[in-house]
Amino acid sequence: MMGRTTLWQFSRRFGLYVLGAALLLALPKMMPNEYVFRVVIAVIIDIPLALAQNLITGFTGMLTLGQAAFYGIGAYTSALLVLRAGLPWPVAFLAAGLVACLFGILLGFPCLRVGSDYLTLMTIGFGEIFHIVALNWMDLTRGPMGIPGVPPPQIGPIVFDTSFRMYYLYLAITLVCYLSMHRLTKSHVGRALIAIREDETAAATMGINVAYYKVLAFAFGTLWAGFSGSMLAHFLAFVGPMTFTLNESLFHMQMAILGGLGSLPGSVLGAAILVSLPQVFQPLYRYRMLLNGALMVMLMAWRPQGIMGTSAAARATRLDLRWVRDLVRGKKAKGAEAPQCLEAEGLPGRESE
Amino acid sequence: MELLRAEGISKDFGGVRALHRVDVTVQEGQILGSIGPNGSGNTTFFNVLTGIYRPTAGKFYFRGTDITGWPPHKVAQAGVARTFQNIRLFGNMSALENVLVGQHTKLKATLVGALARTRGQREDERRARERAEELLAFVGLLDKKDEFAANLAYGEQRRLELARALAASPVLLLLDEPTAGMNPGEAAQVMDLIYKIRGLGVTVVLIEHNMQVMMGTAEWIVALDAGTKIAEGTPKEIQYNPKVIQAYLGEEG
Repeated sequence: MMGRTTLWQFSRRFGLYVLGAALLLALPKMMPNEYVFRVVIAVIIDIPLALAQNLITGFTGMLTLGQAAFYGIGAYTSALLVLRAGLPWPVAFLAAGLVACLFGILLGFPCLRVGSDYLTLMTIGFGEIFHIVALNWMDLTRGPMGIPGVPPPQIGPIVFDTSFRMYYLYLAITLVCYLSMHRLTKSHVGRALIAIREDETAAATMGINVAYYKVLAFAFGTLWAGFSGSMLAHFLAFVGPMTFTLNESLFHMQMAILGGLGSLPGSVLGAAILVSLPQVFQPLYRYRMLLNGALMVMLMAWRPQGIMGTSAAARATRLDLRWVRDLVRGKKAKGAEAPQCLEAEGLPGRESE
Repeated sequence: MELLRAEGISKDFGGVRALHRVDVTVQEGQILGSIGPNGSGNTTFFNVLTGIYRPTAGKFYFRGTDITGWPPHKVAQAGVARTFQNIRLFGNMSALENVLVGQHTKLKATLVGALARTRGQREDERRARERAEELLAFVGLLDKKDEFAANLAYGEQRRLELARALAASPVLLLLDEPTAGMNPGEAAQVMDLIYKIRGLGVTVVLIEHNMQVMMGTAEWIVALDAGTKIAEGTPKEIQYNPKVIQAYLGEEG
């Protein structure tokens, strides 16, 4: 709610901010070893990816599966600009986002012309095209050999060459991402996006330029995928085409769904869980996909809307997989009990709210 | 003052002629009723006017400007708002948010303003919320402002749709069967609201099958049958027009 907040609410919220900030700042000091530290940074890099997918799919209702391409475009752009063009890191970083965003807008326009299922296919297609280009354009990307030796980020004299320094830089970038997504979705823009997800025709008759807002969601989501790509390139010191496949796009979607479509904190949680879990269960590496599958089935069975999501977003994006839950629980699908025509339960009184 | 003029509007869906050379003129401040048996083209007329479909032939002039073939959001920005026969609320948004979306064209906030959360943007947002609450109070739904639209009762949904349409401060309001499925009491409430809306200086075009409601409300009635205008006139004239009676009741005999 907007408007006046009580002193208690204010101080509680302020306290939470202070606590959160202290925790984030002190986190590097709590790291048991470099390995865990690197995992934490990997989570920070993946959070914008989950948020971007959530903006496009959870808020706007467009089921895209091509985010890996924009992630890759950002990674290659940033690495090539620093290594080949000799540009400073901040320029390469910004360019990574902007180039990905440009491609996002270019892909966004034809996507407006097709219905939702075809949109999914088109974005998968774009992802594949990117992958094949990255794999075969030897002069630019060195194909399957990839681009090694990407230097760490550098702003003026400061080189972010340790995990400690990189952590703060990437944390700052990801916080800007979260803040911008938060403000966007809480404004008239966010309302327009949700309205489009709910009912495109009704949204248009309310004066919402549906094409503009869809492309805007695309542009914003791909911009942040590009920034993430840049972060990845300078973190791994390597860019190769095998990182950016359909599997990666599915992973972005998985993060957004697990955390909950339509919930920004959910996406943060989704990224944290899905990036760190395989590391925790490293000994079970061979069964990774199996565990992943089991995790998603369990999620669909008990919380189809994701950990922090609203079922509204899941329903509206047709990612509502409650039938899986019913399957797991042994219930028949809706409408299967044909002979029963009318059912009344607990008629007197309304449910208290 | 002439507000809207439709000239020779035709709309074909493949071989089906939904509208055939319909001429309608709406005067400012009027409540104009549009009647006709189901399938006679009333809703199609709204859909081509608001830009959901493009007319096969004909022109729409709104305040003297040719708006034929404009996309829906442009038509809305020009000052035309509407409700739908089969209620189309944003089900998973609260009642308040639905009305806020209705104010979309009125907001001055920009993308940059939203990202920077400027003073102007916050002020804009605060005013929008106040106005949304006023409108919810106007249709008697203020106590339901935080409920999901999908969870409201049928009659409440109809009234919320009215509030959402009014939020754009329209010049012309198109209502597609606002009392459909309501009992006489609820219908009377809605008609009361429509009078009040006209009192605010909004011109209303109304599709309605309930002739009793129509006779008591509309000042001018256009009757369509099978996509063709068969009559127009005051409610009294329409009531005794043999063509209208025939369209509704069939051939005498």
